[in-house]
Amino acid sequence: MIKPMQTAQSEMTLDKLLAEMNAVVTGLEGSPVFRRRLLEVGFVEGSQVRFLMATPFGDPLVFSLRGASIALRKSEARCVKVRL
Amino acid sequence: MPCGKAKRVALKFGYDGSIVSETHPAMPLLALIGSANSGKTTLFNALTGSHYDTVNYPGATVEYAMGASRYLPEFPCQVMDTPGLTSLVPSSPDEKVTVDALFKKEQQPDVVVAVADANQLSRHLYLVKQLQELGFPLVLVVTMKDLLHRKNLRVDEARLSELMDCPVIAMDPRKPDVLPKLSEVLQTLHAGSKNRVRPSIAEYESFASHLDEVRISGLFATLDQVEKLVVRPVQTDAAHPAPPLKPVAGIGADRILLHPFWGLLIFIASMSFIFTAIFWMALPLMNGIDFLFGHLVEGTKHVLPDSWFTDLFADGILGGIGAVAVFIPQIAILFLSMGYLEDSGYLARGAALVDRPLSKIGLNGKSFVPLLSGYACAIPAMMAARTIPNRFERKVTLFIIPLMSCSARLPVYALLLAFLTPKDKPWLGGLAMTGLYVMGLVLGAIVSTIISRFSRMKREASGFMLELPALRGPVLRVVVVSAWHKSAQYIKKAGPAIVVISLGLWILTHTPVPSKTDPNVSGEYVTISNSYAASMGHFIEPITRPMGLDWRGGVALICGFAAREVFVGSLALVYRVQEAQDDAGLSGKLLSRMHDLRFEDNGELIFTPSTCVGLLVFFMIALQCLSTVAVARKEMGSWKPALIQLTLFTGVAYVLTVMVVQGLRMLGVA
Repeated sequence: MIKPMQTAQSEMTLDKLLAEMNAVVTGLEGSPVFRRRLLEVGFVEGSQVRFLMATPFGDPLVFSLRGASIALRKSEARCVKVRL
Repeated sequence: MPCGKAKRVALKFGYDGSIVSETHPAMPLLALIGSANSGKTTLFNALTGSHYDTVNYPGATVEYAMGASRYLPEFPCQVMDTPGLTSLVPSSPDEKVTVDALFKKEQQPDVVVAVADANQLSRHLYLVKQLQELGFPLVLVVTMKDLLHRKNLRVDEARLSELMDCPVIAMDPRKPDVLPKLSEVLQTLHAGSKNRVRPSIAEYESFASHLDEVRISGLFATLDQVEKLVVRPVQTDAAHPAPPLKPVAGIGADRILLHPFWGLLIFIASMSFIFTAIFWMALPLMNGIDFLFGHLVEGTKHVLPDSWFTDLFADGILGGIGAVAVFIPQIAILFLSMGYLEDSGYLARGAALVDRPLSKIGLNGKSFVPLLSGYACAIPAMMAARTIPNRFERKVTLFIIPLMSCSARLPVYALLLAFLTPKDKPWLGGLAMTGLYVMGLVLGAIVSTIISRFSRMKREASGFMLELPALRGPVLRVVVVSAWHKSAQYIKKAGPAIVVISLGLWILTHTPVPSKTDPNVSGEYVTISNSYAASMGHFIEPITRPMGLDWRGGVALICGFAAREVFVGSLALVYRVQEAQDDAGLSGKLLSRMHDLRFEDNGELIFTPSTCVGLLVFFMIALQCLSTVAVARKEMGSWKPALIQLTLFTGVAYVLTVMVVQGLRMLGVA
């Protein structure tokens, strides 16, 4: 059985990942337009995602997802809920 | 760079084959459809041998590459390349045009080759599933399997074909025997689907409305299973376990390209390189063309009998063609360098890099490519803005594109700066030129900041989301062919207008034809000062006088509204530059003539430093290109913003010019 404390710690949003961290998508939030675009790019529940690096001005961030490198603004990454 | 190598081999194969057929309207239409960076264009070049035309869709200004298939022996057809799609439910206007076309009767493809990258199969199969669901007969081509192989993985074609219920061909472009196989498969597919019911718009609309979040997630769940079943390790027996996966190619390079310091340095260096190339590499070529046409005009006049028609042909037509031809080097260099950056995958990184600063002024990283194209020509730049999904950001981008100094302004800048620059300090001209280009960008930033602060237009939430394609060495041939097509397209569009205007202007300045017997109206100068153009110029002189120009300058300025570059040619015409005794090209003659042109009433010099600085300001800001206004109307969806753009930029330009000219004169600058 998973302790509540552990769940709270490992649940976060994509923009909070540190470089080279892997995570699994657990859901999406935010506006329907954002959610739809994120889904169609492949951010569906259960997908493996890895934070690669930030761009020189700190935003957007670059992620590895389903074999592709995808740049997302922090505001978009915040819509993706992940678990470590 | 495995992709680059693969591409080259594919093209080489293309050369070896024989020409199967030329473009023919009765041939079936094959559409290549796939996600961005799936290798569609590589396949397109392999199929057509890089022989293609760019065509417009009916009712749309988006250009498509279309060519006859040369290397499909069993299946002669027309092949169409389309812009990359993520989904059949479009999220930006450029995607919308592609999707719309799939359901338009006249352009609906007979067969579809769906292209998917083996390395991101689940993402790319998402679009394939959608196409299948709507009933397009398709062959799935899986590309870049060589890249996958490097990760010690392979695609099980038979299994994938079974699971996706369609023919599958994995393309390793190093093996040229794949195209005959593709051709057979296509022939069978086409023969079997001749009597099928074509997908209708109604079906599409119902499909799109049912594609909700649950269905998308469901589709991906299925595709994850498919990927798991078909992407297998190359060695499967227990004695030879697959080695651990290597990291995805290109990430190492991205650590440098997107590094806070090196990344910025590389970005600035590559942008500087492009603009340096436009200024300095094009210069000798431009001088050559200018010189050539100068002599061509002279020669024609020498050979043909001295008459009104000879002058019309030499000055009006040849001079007009020369005015177009002189820009070709710059435009070609810009398209070449942009094509190079695009094909290597760098442009997407550039867009990601500038997204943050651009978002601060109401734009988007995706405005980067349109704005950069704006330095060549506002028209293709405005079309490139269709890739911006956010409506507000797209409108602001469209609004400020004309402030980027397009190549048509370059000859005007060049002439005026050559006039202003002291002979012993030629570097000052280059510096001032750079300043003018940067000023365009700065003005654009100011305007977009003002709009985004004060506009009451409804705004959707802004995002960026862009796939960074795998970095690879660009294939020179593909880049050159594409730059050639783009330059030719530009010349075809802008060229005739410029020639016609130049001709019309010549006629206006040379009619009414003076009677030979009248002793008072002999000589070119008298002809022009009695012409219709002169009456026009005199009419607007109250407006041009504060700018420091007489009626002749006013005529040239009016002509410049057809296209800015016409200004230089018009100056040459109205100020009778042919009379100058100078063995230089047309603009060389014009320059020497400008030094002693005087107002007719008070005998003061027309082209003084203050007038020239004023003109620079005017050309930097004014929207003097009616073709741009027409495209802006189309892209912004109504006349109102396009006319606001026209009057605002031109009005501000005029007021600033008058202020600069009069201000400089008050300060004692002649």
